[in-house]
Amino acid sequence: VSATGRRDLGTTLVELADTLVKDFDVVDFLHTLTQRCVELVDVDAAGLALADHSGMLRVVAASDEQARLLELFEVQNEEGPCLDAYRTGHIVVEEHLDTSERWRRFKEEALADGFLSVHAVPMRLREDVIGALNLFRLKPGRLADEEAAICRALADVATIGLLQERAVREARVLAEQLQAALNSRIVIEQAKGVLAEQSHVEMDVAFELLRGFARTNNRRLADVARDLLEARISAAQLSLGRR
Amino acid sequence: MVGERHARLVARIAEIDDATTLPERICRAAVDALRVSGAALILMSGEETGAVVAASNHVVESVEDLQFALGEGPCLRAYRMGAPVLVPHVTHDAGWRWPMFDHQAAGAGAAAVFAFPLQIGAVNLGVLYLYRDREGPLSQGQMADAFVFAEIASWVLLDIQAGAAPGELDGRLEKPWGHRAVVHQATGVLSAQLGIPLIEALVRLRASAFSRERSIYDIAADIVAGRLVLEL
Repeated sequence: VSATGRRDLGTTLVELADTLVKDFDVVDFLHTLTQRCVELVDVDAAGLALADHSGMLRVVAASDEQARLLELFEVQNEEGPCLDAYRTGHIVVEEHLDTSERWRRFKEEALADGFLSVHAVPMRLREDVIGALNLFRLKPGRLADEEAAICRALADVATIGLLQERAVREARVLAEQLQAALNSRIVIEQAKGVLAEQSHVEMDVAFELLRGFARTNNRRLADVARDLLEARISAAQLSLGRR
Repeated sequence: MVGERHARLVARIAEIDDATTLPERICRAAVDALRVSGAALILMSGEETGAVVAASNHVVESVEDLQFALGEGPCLRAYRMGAPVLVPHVTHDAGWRWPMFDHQAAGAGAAAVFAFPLQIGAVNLGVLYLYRDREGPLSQGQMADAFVFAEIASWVLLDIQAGAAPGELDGRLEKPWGHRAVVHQATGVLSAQLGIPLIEALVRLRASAFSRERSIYDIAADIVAGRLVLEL
């Protein structure tokens, strides 16, 4: 690879990593990735398929419409390099599609589009294979080692991006739960103060009254506390359980 | 690249080899890497409260207590805005942003203070608070490191909370709130006594602590025990 080629890869990796930071859009991200493959490496089209929750591959991005249709064909017919790369976790190369014995239906479809060779790179993290990147070429033969390395690097960046996206989505829920739990604590302490004052009881008695009411009515403590603070429940109602 | 800086700072956190909690290690690694005098991780909730989950030293904890007591300061601002708040010259700017905080922070030895939000997506969890006994801004590299420390801290705090029962706070995150409870109780008492909204009751509490030159915790304890009754 030439010096400019290397610099382009570096720039691309930074560009892709940048998209991971804010406002991450998976589809846009993967679309960018397939386009960069075509720009950086000697391939004519690229497509990307990811496994859904049931382990079925789904086409999520392609450098052009022709590649997208070919990927779809592959997934629908359950045969092709992308599926093999996903199932085995290894790179799959077919240097001569025209003389190949593999993937009868896929081969015909690819040849009809003018593609003579194909590479499929698994997207993996540790033991997990989460999808595969398909690279189509109009000429026969194998990618140079450096070019294959670039494809693997791009596939790795995509993998990290996707795992981060999944983690962020879970983290958001967790972050909201944390904030809710923090708010609940404050609301409960404030409600204890209000109840202690209005019902002339000690703080720990006030807490027991709140908790007793919540249990009897099968409600969450924080919700009962909030109802008291917003005058939807009176101190008298809460104190009924006592005396 | 983003990943290289991240890896370097994770390594620094790992190098802190005392048997301390992970949040404390992050604070101490931040002090080393950013050349500041102290660092603290503060969980925040609503707009009025924060609690120090971990701190590199006691001075930072008292500075955060100060912000809670006063209801103003860089941490509250950073949390509300979801953006860093940088005060490189506390004494020089004194009284301009936070009249009470500036004077008291300077008195406590903070010549420069910086607050970076702990964020996950659109949710703000709290703040990474840094102070230095010497004036001046953070360098570009230190700023970038501080953002990464804040990011790592956010994930670590979430990871701690991940083990908690639904609707509950993990014990390690709950403990720091203990001494604040009395202030919230007193807020409730005052609100009921005077028939005023909670937020107003908290403002009254702070004002009376300030005018009597006593800590908000002492005033709150007196109110809860019925030793002190504030007039409307």
